[in-house]
Amino acid sequence: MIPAESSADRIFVVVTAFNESRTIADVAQRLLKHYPNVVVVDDGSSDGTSDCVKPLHAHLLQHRVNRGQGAALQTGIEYALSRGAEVVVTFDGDGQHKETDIAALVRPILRGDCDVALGSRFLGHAPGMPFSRRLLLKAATLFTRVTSRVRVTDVHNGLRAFSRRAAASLHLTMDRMAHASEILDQVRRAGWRYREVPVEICYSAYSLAKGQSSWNALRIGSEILVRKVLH
Amino acid sequence: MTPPHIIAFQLIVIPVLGLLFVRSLYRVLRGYHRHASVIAAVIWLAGALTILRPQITIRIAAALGIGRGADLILYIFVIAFLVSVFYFYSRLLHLEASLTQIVRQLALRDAVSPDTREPEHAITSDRHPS
Repeated sequence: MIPAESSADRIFVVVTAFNESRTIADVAQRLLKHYPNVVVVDDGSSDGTSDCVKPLHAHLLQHRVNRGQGAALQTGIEYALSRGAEVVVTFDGDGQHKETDIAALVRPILRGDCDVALGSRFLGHAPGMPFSRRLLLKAATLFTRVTSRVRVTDVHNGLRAFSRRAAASLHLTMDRMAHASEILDQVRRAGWRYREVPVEICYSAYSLAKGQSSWNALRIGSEILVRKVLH
Repeated sequence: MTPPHIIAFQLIVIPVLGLLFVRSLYRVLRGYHRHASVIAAVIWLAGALTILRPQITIRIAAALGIGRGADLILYIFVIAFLVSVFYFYSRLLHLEASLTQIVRQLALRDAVSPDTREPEHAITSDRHPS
């Protein structure tokens, strides 16, 4: 258990961003109000995302070329651990997540009740979620239950929290979108205690336009299956 | 035995394959890309032989219980193609992982933390240690 006074300093929020110059400064500032250690990982953006972050009091890491969200998360997590993080929170840079949801994710970890806390929009709120997105996520949930044998309600939520030792055990190799399934897979295999926490996802026209297409989902699913065969 | 009649296809392709064979042989003897060159030489030679004497494929096919010589060629190619696909995909995955490793090392090496730099216009947060 970690004493409450030092907890804010030891909580590192890793924000991955790829061409999010429109939202990243706002996201980072809102986070910095509550958490002194915000790590922004710019995954090879070409729209000046990094420049939006430079004036702020956040850690900044840059991938020279785009490697995918999974790779950016792994980089950010390794950095946070090297700086003494006791809890690592992952957060999206596109403004879909609410920084006020982080406390509920971190609390059970600090209390020692679990090692991993996963945000779930289906337990919480997701106003304005398109029906096609809901359908896609339900299919993904079923797929994950079969392949990773993990029972969660929201398999593709970027808002998560890890205890130090759980974060240290992560080795994300699936750089692109399949990393969400890989995280669940590794959490289950390592036996980390996990729980879901209700969070809110804010759908805006901007974030919807950037979301996953159904075609992509098919590709990700087949990539996961092929990897399982090849290993 | 009746003399084999020459068709236009053979006239065009045989010299090309012959040249490729000679080039591969040259590479093998000189030691450039030896393994690949040996395989290439064998392929060009086999290609030239089967085009010059198609009966070869028919005989081999018959020995294996396959209907036509062309079918034999087809099966060999399908298998070789699939093997190649798996091989290259596997190599691709390794390359991607290596690339990510390098990009990550660079990012970690050049990381900027708030305490090591002077922000031009620092946004101060209103948190206080409790």
